[in-house]
Amino acid sequence: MLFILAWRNLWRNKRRTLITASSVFFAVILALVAESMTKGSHEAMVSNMVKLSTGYLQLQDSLYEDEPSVDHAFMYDDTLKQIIRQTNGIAYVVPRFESFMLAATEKSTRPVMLRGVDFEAENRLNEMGHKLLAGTSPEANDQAVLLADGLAERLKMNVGDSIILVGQGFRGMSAAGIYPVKGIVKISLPRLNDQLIFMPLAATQQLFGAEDRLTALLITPEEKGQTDLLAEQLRAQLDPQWFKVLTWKQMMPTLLQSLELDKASGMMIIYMLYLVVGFGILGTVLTMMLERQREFGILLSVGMKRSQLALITFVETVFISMIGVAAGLVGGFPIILYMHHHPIRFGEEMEAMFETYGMEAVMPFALDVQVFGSQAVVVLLITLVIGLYPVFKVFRMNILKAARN
Amino acid sequence: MLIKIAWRNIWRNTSRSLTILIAIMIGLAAALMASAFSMGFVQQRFNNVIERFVSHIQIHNPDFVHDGEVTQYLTNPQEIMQQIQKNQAVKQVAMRTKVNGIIASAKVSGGVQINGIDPETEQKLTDLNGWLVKGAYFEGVKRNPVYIGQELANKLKADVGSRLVLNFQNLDGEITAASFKVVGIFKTIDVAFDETTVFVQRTDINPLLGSEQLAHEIALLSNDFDRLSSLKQQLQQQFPELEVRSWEKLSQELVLMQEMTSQSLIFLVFIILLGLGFGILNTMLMSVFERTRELGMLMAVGMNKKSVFQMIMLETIFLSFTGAAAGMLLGFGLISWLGNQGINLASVAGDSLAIYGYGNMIYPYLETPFYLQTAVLVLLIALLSALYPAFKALQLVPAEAVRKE
Repeated sequence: MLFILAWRNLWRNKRRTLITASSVFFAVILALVAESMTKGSHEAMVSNMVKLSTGYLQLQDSLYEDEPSVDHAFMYDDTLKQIIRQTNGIAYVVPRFESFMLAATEKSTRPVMLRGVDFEAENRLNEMGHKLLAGTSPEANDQAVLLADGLAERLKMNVGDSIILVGQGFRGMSAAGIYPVKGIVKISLPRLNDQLIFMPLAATQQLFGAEDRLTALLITPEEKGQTDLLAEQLRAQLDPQWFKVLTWKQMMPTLLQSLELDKASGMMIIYMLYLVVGFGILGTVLTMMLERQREFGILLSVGMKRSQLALITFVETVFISMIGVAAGLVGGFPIILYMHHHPIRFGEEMEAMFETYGMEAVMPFALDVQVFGSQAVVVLLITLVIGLYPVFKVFRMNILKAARN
Repeated sequence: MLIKIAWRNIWRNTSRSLTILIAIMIGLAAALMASAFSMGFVQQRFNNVIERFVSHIQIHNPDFVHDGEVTQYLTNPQEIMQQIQKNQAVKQVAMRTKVNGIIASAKVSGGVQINGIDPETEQKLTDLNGWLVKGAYFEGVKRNPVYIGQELANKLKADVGSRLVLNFQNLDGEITAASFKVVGIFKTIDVAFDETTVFVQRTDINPLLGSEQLAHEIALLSNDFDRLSSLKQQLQQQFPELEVRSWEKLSQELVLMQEMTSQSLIFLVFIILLGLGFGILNTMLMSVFERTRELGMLMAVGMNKKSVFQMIMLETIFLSFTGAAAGMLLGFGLISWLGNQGINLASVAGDSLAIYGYGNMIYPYLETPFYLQTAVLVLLIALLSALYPAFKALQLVPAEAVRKE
């Protein structure tokens, strides 16, 4: 009965209902846009950094993290492959064998990072980040290297030159060799671009005397959001005495910290947005109460109980907020969809700089069910709190004064 | 006359007026807070990175910028230093010897950037001592002290007092090795920096490299940040054969971050202002409808439409000015208070930030013109939002409006 009354009340004065619902509608849309933008840029930074450096997940020997020496390279054997194959949610893996070495040319010596890789898998992980500038990528069974262009410049090397690599091999062996430079590649991470050398995995393992061993196995989850869960699953299956599973959050604490700071500052501002839209809705509801004073006064004087009336006003607010939130979600979707595909571009002068870091110079918007869900809930909660005001008002109303208004 | 009526109208229904007034006040205060917070956030990151790592301006041999070879040093660094010190605009200046090398403990080795510094002047420039977590800042070890990062110490399993071997190429191109003793351990906000940077005394490293006066880098802080580009030009003219670079050029990563953060924060502030606009629009609209009868009465007794329109606009102007003034005061008060107190982002982002200790305190601040700009913008929004409801009021048909309850 009360519900029917409340529902009828809504449509008795459509204009009033529409105005209130529209204030909720705008609140939802603005909250959606703000949150989608915050989340979008956050995700873009994560995936960019993660793909360029550590990957989402790494499987390592349990001692490698504390002491990243080739002595702690682990055996990538059939048992391990079997476990990887049987774990759900893994998109693909990227094997690496890497170590610091000295690279020498006739004129100079520099410390470099040698990374033995499976080129196909690396490209899958990050096609944007590696741009071949000259020559070709070595084949899987080549004894040749691919140089990062910053390093090539510093060593003054070109395709066809030979480079000498000297370092410590696996368990006391020495690792030294001379390799032709087959190609030069640009890496969108300046710090790595100055020191990285790629070599086919097999040749690298051979150089270090560590056949079938890896220093790290990068694992890409099918769903990026499931990274932590997948890490847990793998940990459960592997002997912690021998293996460690690390997530990008553990491997790049600085990145995480600056991202968290960014996120926190975005959140601060979104709270302020909630405050502002909350007051917007409150203003509408307050004015609505003024308008209906006479109506309520009459209802109360003809014998309706205050509690009944309060319930009706509350149910009305709930209806209105649901209408507003639903409309906001429906109306916000095309906006977010559009922004997702046509993100805001930064100025042209920024583009070159973004490109250095392998990023597109845009402010990306996330298209994520979670954004819709969380913002709907938040705005609904705000509205329900505001909906308590009419209830409170009804209980305190002076019937005679109100009816005469 | 109209002004008088409008003014009386406002106070005739205090609760309605207060609602609008408070909405504008809170909206403006929130918008100001959001801007001040963004400025504080960007500034905080700047202080952390520029003042403690990069400095305002750095001077190098142009070849060193390109290749970073130890042989590409500054000629006559003492003389350059003296000339720079004479410049009134320079607050603090220090020079460094820089060479890439490998640091090794008994078990593990890693590539590092070796910085030869004069501990006292360096301390004045970058407050290097401020990052100390263990041991002392170049005190207590007579020969070959080395100041290393926490991350590197962990990796090398080194502690204060440990001996470490540094390998690097000297000016003649020969690989040199020397034993250093850990004097202190530092921890900055940048884990990668802590893992790859070590500090030694110039007086120790220079003889090993083969020249007592050697220096590769001169870094300085300016007295007047706003006139940095003119200082940079001045220095470039003074030393045409050297490369003088300011922080924008030195830390492109920071410029990029700064750009992304400030763009997204500006976007969020814009969204807040939109939210404020919709809030006012809806409240005003509701208030016009609530007053249908009253406005209809005014028209029926002969007030022309133009006057009704003007009256509503005048009311809005009064309300907005009062609200804006109150909002400015509230915003100013809040910003000044929080500017002293600081906002701890860890309380928003949760524990993940608390462990870092540094860099999560934000001190909001806003320059005076910004207050005025935002206030003008909010007033404009308020007036624009009032236009539509005022037009709506014009469309009322007096005969119908009067009859409405």
